[in-house]
Amino acid sequence: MPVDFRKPAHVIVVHGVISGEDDDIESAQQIRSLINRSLAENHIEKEFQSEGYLYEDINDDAQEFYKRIGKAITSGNPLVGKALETVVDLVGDVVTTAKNTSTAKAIRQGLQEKILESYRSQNQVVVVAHSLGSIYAIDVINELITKARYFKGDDRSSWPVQGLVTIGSPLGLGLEIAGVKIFEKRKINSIENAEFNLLSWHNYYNRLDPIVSGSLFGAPVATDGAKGPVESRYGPSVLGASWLLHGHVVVSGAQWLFAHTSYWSNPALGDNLVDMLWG
Amino acid sequence: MNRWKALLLLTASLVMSGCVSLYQYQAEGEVATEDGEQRKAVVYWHKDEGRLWYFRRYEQLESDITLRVCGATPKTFALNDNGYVELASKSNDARIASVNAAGELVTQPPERIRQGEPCGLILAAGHRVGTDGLSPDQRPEIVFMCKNDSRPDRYPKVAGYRFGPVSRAKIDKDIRPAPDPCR
Repeated sequence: MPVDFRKPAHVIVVHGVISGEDDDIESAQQIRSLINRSLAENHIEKEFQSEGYLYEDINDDAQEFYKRIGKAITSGNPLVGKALETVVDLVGDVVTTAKNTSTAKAIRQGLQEKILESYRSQNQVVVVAHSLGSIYAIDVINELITKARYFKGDDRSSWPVQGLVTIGSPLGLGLEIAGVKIFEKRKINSIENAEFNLLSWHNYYNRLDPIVSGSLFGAPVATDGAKGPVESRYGPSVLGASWLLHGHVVVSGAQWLFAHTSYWSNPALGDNLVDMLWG
Repeated sequence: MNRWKALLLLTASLVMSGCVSLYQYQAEGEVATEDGEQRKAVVYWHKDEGRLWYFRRYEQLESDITLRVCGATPKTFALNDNGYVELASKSNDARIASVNAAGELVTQPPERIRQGEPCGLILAAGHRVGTDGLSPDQRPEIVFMCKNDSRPDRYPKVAGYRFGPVSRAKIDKDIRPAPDPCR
């Protein structure tokens, strides 16, 4: 069913690396608050839904074996045990993405289904992806573009996703650890016959965010204007594929991992989301 | 022993957070809608200033300038590859004016443009600028060049709008207030 732009917009929020469970994730609520704040401060009223795509429990199930080993090793020291469990959780989330495991495929399948659920109910969808979530978001949108029934040229009502916002994304990093390529560059699939309309991809990043820069100590990442690691890596390939990548350097008065979690309160991000949805 | 480890972790976190302050720049003005109604508006952007946790001096401006118009959807003027900000066009927009080398707005026959083409610019003293080209007390001119017949509310009326002087103030980085366009 084609998208009906008069219906309430759906914002699907894909979280990043987290230790904990699905119930601990607040990213959808944070985006909802940000959009509501922008609407209120601009004195406009709009209807929308912000829902999280939660996959931490899928990751946790896959890592259960390793966590049990960790508990057995550290059974005499609960503090060390908890720390090891957290490390297994966080590292496991990254390795899952990098090695394209069956868990990663299950996560992508779930996200695709969530997007198509909104599409089938004719609601326009904007995907907001934080940190590691941006890897899954890009992969799923790319997969949808390859399916003939979606993204039919300039007909935006056939686009299950109207735009992508990535925040604090590691997509610009080309790391290799122990022979495993982390955050390998994705091929951007082309939207065929799109002459006037492009798929907007807005990438927000703080130069002090270590997930963006890959700098363990939070040294500022090098930029050329608004071109950071993601724009440098993907910029040349996206325009020819009918995507439109905008880099946005943001600031927050915060550094290091605090910079990585400061995007949720940036009013300019909220204003841009409102413009993407209703502008 | 656990208490000391927790204290060490807390201290390390505080040190790593450094001492960077957040500043907000803004300029107020008015724009006209397609049907001639005057609306209050404001542009704003932010800057980090201070020292990193390892004492190196750090300054960083945001790359976007955001426009808020009272009762309308906000607009993002984003930095392009040429070093100035522009407002990108959207689906089915038509450009009906452009800015010449002298910084003057000149009309042109309506031209349907591809998404992402410039539909708005910010000028200072007739020159295209980004956030690094606007200092306190300068008066930016916000220029709109496009319209959309199926979405007449998308842009203010095609024209250049001179805003008031840029002001700068330190803001609370936790609350992050943003200016009210309807003040």
